[in-house]
Amino acid sequence: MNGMEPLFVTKGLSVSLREKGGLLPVVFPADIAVKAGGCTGIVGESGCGKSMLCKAVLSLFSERKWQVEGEAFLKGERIPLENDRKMDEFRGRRMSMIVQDPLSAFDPRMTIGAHFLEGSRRRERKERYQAAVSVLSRMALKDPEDVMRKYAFELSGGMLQRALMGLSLLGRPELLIADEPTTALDSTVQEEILRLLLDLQKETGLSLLLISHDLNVVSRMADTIYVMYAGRIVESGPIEEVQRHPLHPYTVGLFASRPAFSKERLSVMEGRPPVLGELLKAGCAFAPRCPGVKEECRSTVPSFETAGEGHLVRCGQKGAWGSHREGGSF
Amino acid sequence: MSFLEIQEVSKSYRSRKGRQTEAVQKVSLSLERGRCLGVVGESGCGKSTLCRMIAGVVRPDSGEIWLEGSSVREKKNRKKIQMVFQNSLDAVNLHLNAGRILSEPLENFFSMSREERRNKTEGLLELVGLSKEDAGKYPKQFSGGQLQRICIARALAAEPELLLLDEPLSSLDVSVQAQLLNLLADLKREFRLTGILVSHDLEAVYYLADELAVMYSGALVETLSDITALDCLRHPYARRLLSVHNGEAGTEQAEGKSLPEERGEACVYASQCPKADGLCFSKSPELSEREDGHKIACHYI
Repeated sequence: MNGMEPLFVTKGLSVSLREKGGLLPVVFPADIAVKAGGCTGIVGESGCGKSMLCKAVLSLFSERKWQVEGEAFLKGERIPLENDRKMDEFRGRRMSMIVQDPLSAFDPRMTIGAHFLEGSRRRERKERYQAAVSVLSRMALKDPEDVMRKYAFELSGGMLQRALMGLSLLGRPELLIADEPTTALDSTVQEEILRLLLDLQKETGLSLLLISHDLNVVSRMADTIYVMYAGRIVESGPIEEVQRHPLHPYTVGLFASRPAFSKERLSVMEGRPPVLGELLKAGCAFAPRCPGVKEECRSTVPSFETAGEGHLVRCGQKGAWGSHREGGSF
Repeated sequence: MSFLEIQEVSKSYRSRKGRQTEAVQKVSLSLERGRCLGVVGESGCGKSTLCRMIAGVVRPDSGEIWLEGSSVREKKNRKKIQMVFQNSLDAVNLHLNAGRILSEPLENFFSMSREERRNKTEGLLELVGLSKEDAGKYPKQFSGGQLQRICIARALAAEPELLLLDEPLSSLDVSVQAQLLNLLADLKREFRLTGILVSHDLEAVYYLADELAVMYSGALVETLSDITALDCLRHPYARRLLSVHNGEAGTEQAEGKSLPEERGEACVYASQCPKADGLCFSKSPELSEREDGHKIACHYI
């Protein structure tokens, strides 16, 4: 990463579900990095484990059901994922999160303002209120005091997402995790929210970990991209590089899946991603859908290998199929 | 008269507090046989209500919709118009297996022996890319994309003349969306279907549809009879929608989010429009033809 120490890294972070028969892997050990002031995007389809990875970073799992292994570091400092009390110092303060469905993120029985004041001591209240008003007006909400008097159901989706962004930025976090922040919104509102995030990054140097299934969103926002499939990162690298030379057949397929204002027949990936119980099967998880599959792909899980400057790919053929592809057809 | 003729339909819903929401206001459209119309607009703009009125399941407050000269609410048109919904899990009976789901329209609209029906359902399953063995499976056993295929097969079972697709792709993953887009394109070509595709996804609409209608807040703001001429869109809202999809930055937009309670005669886009002035707030513009097959509702274009 051009010699610059990234703000946030995970080292071999994995998530498994505790089942009666043993552990069921959901996310295989993953290394991701977010540059200071940068934006890292994680793309993948539903069930690929991208949200689980984020939840693991904030240690939002119940110990009884889930097992999280590996480490994560913020500014070189180890995040105490195993210690719930010590996590309080990180959660909401140094790292915070916005989610896809802001309506479910707010308590329906509390006003928006009450969420901002929650947990503050009486003498801090006035100060906290002022801070809330200023952060909400920064989110381009026209009348922040009015918004704070309202309940979540009274606001539109776009306004709620802004309010949630305000709430998560109140503690001035160093890292904001945005899990599908615009998926539930109309395209014009989506554009406004994305632009707001970009502005905030420019002004405050906020670092962003953006999870999305939408390649358009990620390619607009991110400098680095991680593509996940079936619980594993299959390709990563600088966004321009991955966009120009996608190597993993899944990445190629994802880029080819959008019609991009043409009426030409889409080249599609047949089949569907594997579900939870199927992740432990031998071989590359993408093999059943892969057009360039070879015999060895079905028996060994490929390792993550360097394919160029900062560009890594997990493909038994080292992305050979992807790089020899003719003129963009899948 | 065209194959499908929508004449000034309006529909308003009243909330318990007595507030009136005009979901669709005086929408007129026509569609020729074998064409596919894409309707785009944001959530709450009335595109689904319009779709339901065309299907004959919602009665318009005023105006009329004609299919080949007879009202869509007439019983004989039920078979001719079929619909595919956004949430496939809500659109099917979870207690019936795929075979039963597909034979329901066959029982309703055709007189067939059990044997014929079975052959037909198997044929339908294969048509949408599933296998015969799937007939015994229940909705919960299918993935979202597979279930949506079954919903498409069910709509086609009645051999409709008009197929209404209300956001058929929006709850699906990107790669599955691509599979279904191809499937719909194939079916459209094979059966020469007349269709209406309602979606917020301009790219998907562009891929499937021949014509385009842009809705905002219950009214049509622009229509285009040739969707490939997308760059000709000129209404400020349509331009904004297009620029968002092209990933362009810097579209101008006026301040203010809320519409006045009593909109009266104002243009539907007036409160959002950067160019709006007194005239826009006092008189709503008519949708009028500017060039061949290109209609715009704006005072200043």
